[in-house]
Amino acid sequence: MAFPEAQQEVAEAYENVAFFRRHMDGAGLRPHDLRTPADFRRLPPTSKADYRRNFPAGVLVEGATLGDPFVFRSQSSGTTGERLVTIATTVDLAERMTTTSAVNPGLEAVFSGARAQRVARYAAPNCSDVECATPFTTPESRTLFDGTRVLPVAHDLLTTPSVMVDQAVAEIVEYEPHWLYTDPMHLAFLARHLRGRGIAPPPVGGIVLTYNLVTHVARRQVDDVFGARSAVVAEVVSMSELGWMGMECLAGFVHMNTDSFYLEFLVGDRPAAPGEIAELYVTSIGDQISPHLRYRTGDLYTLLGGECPCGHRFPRVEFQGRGAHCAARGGEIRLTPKQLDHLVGPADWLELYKLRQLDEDRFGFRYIPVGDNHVAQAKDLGDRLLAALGADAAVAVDAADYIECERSGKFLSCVSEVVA
Amino acid sequence: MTGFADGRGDIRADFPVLSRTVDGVPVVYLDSAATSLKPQPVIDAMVRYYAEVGANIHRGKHMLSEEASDAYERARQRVAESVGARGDEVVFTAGTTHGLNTVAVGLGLSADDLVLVGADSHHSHQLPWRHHARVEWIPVRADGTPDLGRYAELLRRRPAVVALTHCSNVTGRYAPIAEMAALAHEHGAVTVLDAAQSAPHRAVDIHGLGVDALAFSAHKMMGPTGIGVLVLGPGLLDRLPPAMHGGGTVDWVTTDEVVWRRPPHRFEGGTPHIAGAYGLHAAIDYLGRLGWTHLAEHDRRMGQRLLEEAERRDHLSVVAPGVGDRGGIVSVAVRGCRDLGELARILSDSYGVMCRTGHLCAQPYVDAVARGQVLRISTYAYTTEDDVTTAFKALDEAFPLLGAERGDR
Repeated sequence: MAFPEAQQEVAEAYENVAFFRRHMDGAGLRPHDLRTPADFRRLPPTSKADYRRNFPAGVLVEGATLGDPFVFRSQSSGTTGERLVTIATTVDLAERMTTTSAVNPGLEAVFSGARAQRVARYAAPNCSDVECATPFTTPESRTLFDGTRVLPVAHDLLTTPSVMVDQAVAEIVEYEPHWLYTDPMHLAFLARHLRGRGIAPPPVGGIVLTYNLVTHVARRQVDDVFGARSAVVAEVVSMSELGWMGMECLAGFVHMNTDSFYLEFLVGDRPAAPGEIAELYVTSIGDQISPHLRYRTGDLYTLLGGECPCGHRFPRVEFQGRGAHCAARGGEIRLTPKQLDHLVGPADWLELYKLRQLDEDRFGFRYIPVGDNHVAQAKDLGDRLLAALGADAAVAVDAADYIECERSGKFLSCVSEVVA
Repeated sequence: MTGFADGRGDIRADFPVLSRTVDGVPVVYLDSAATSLKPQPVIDAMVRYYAEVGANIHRGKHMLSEEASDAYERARQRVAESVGARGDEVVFTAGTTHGLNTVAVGLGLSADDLVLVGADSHHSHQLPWRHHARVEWIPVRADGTPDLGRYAELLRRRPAVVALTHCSNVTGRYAPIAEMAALAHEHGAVTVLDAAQSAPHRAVDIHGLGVDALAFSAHKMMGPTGIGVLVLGPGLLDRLPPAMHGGGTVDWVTTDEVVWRRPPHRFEGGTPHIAGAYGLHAAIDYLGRLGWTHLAEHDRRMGQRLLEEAERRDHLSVVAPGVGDRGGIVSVAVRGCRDLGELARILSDSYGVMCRTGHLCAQPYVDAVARGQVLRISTYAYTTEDDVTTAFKALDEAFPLLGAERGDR
């Protein structure tokens, strides 16, 4: 982990960024107090609210402005619906992307091999920085400043009208993107439509699955359609605030970029051991315009430990999903979204599913079945859900022909309405 | 039995109105078919909107507007989930009447088009059709069920629309909707369902029932007044133009061109009842916690109890008597009583029993079966057997004092 660089980031943030000076003074800390990783944890974590409240005056490095060259601004409503305007330099973002991509030579080759990059994005409209949720947009109006083509989709994925699905299918085939930057649930939706219409997918070199947890079911559907064209498919950990932070290697493990970030995986306020479910706190390294210190992400990970067959030195993790989305009872997590995903597995008897915790004891699991032979599997899954959630939980398992997205436009496979 | 328990004990404590007294007498609320009482979580949800959010939806870029928009759309999703529909198939209206009119106007009927309407329909499900088309009545038999033989005959006249009522607000009788809708579709008719009295008590699934549209009101299902739901099935969703034009219904407007928004937004012109959506969401959650199976069982049990009590009394004549699929509603004519309004006032002021009298917005039917007025007792999840006992005891005590004319029914 890049601890000396993190100390340097703190020193520069204290010196040059008004919010962090106030933040540390408020905690009675100076940069030289943070000599060890344990000292570092005395620095109070920062949250979205800090960056939102202090934007832009408090979080920009002194002398910088929003109009500076190479400044990239992104508006995010986030998976939580908690909105935030984020700012970074394209130089920092490119560096993080390059460093992160080193774990996957296959994707690295795709990125470097294409001179005039044609990138297509298919994700929730809220994540797309451009209006793409009506049938009245044109390819030109959905092309971002960097040339990325955003494909049209409705805010509530499964209600996307045929005319917009037709647009997306036609454009992805016609545009022939070098690589796709997509939400796995959205791409799986498109894959199902491509398959249903008997249309061959375009010969994309690579597929980045980000924005959302990659379920086995979605991955199966994406691999079935796009993998047949030898596309390199990889899960990427990214945040609008900070850019790319981790990537799946060719051996199938996600590695976190510990050169561009100082990462803390904590259980409470202590470092997690491999196998424990921990929350990620991020400190940027060398951020030129808006550093982040001990940024509490709300995302849960499990450190896997040991060496990866791919040989890369970056630590291996498994993304468990957001803490707020876990099924929990009595304040204790019973199922993270990833644990639910393991429970369901690739499940070729269903197309899509969602577990929603309604209150402390009630859960609803809905799924869209494939074919007619799903009742026995659903019952078996219901028994396993009950075992995981507690025998006294009420778990309703129902087949459906529609399942809603969250308001953020993301299709989350596991959500909770219980306020922690 | 004290009341409907949800695992947390008696739910009656959740309803502030039930703690009221009238001149020291506890309120016995038996007018739930008119509107239901609201549990505290529904009241809290609406207060939360006004106290903590307050902003308009889908308009501004500020945080409060976004929060309100999110909550409004989450309410839509929750409704969709509860009726087996997609989010875009759920339109928020001002209530059942608004929803039914939206369909009646949008279908673009002419005076030559035929609409079949149940004889026991609520005015809200007959007047819009009478205004826009030619109406034939589906007769109702003495036991309150539709005359399916006559219905089949009427369908041969190729009606454009069949206006169905799931549960009569007069008799509490449920109609065999899935069967009637399937028959209507065989004859090419659009089916529109008034689910105002059924949606509060039973899980209403648009696909299970097989209708093209259904409408209900939040206020009859523990939610707020002023908001309702119109569910449009695939057959109508894109076919129906907006009945009301204005802000929020369009994607694009020039001086000579208009592009309507996708459903459901094209049907929701103007600022909607945002607090109502908060309340409706809370109401559906509350009902979900009670459990739809338990709600339906309670409703049937109450319906049976009301029927038994009413049929046991010579001075009461039940509208649509007999066993069958019925909910917690009974309407009676009272022998010799020419002014049921006076009886209702006595029940209210002297006994704390709140119930409804009159023609119940189904005047042609009530005129035909009960000389234009009935006394209606209707229940909901918070109603207890003791409430029913109290109401009939009060009736027993009050009836002899009315000086009703013997033999006059």
